[in-house]
Amino acid sequence: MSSARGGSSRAYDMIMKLLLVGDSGVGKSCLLLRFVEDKFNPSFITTIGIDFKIRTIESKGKKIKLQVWDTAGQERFRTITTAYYRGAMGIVLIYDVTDSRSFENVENWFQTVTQHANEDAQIFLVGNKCDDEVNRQVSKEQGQELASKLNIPFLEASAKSNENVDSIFYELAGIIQDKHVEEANATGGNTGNIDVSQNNSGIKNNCC
Amino acid sequence: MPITTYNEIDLKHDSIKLKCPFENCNTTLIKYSQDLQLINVKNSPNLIKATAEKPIMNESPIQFYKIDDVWAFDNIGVSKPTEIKTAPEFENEIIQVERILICSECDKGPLGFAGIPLNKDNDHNNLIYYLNVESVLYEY
Repeated sequence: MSSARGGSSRAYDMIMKLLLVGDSGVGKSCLLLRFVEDKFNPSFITTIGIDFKIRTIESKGKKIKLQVWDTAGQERFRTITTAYYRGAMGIVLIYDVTDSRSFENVENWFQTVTQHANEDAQIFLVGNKCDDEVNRQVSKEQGQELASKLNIPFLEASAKSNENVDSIFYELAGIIQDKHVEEANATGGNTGNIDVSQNNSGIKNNCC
Repeated sequence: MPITTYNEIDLKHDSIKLKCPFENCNTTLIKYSQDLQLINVKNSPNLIKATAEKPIMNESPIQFYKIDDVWAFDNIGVSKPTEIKTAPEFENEIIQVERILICSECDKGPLGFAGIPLNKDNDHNNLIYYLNVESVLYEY
């Protein structure tokens, strides 16, 4: 996490580290990097992929900086380290609606995540590739049922058609934001003035 | 608000935003502030140059903003480790190019690079970000 220094370039209300996890091939990277045929989108960028992105969004009148991380193919070996989960406030658990095996693995991922991540990290279930109705193996209802069982929010999305891709990040950020407001109210704290270098709450002083 | 290139901008304006140079995107990448340290880099990789028309490729640009804290960016995409062979130099120190920087909205670039000085551990936390001054447009 960053230090809470002053300066206009660092004016924001909250920062959040979010992770994408799930089986190989479910389209995690596609949620971070669109494949656009263009000479300024050189193939080496699509080949090497994105490590993380910073995106600034407005949610409920607050400016929130999201840092969204892709797993660097480590999921193949189930070697995602605890360090990767450290400080994560939100975890997007992704399966592929055209691959029932990836759906069956969701509960394993859920266990892995709850074992390694912060206790209060918010998990969000996403069924990706929902544009591909022809090859669909997992229904939306099955996704919803599993999400209810695990008590986590759920969305179907398509990186290909861009459906719900932004909604994942907006909804997850909104839930995390609400949690922290509740926590701050419960403890009588001030959500606007906590130094993230001191803890992992991600709430930062909006100094300007 | 007006938007212009590095050669045209007067950096004394009160509120300047550094923008993605691509048409129909122009996402704010970072706000201009005194925290953006202007430096000269030798032997940098080839990067995008913003123009009044369409962006072009620029061979080994020299002037960069050095940004130590990635959270200073409003929007940026950071690639996985690259194998770019150029070895940029800043104040006689070689920088190992580790990542390239692209716009986080349109995914186009490269607009800069991120690197680790050769004398430091290859740890993600040691990454320093170098945004080319000419790769972006300036809104004021």
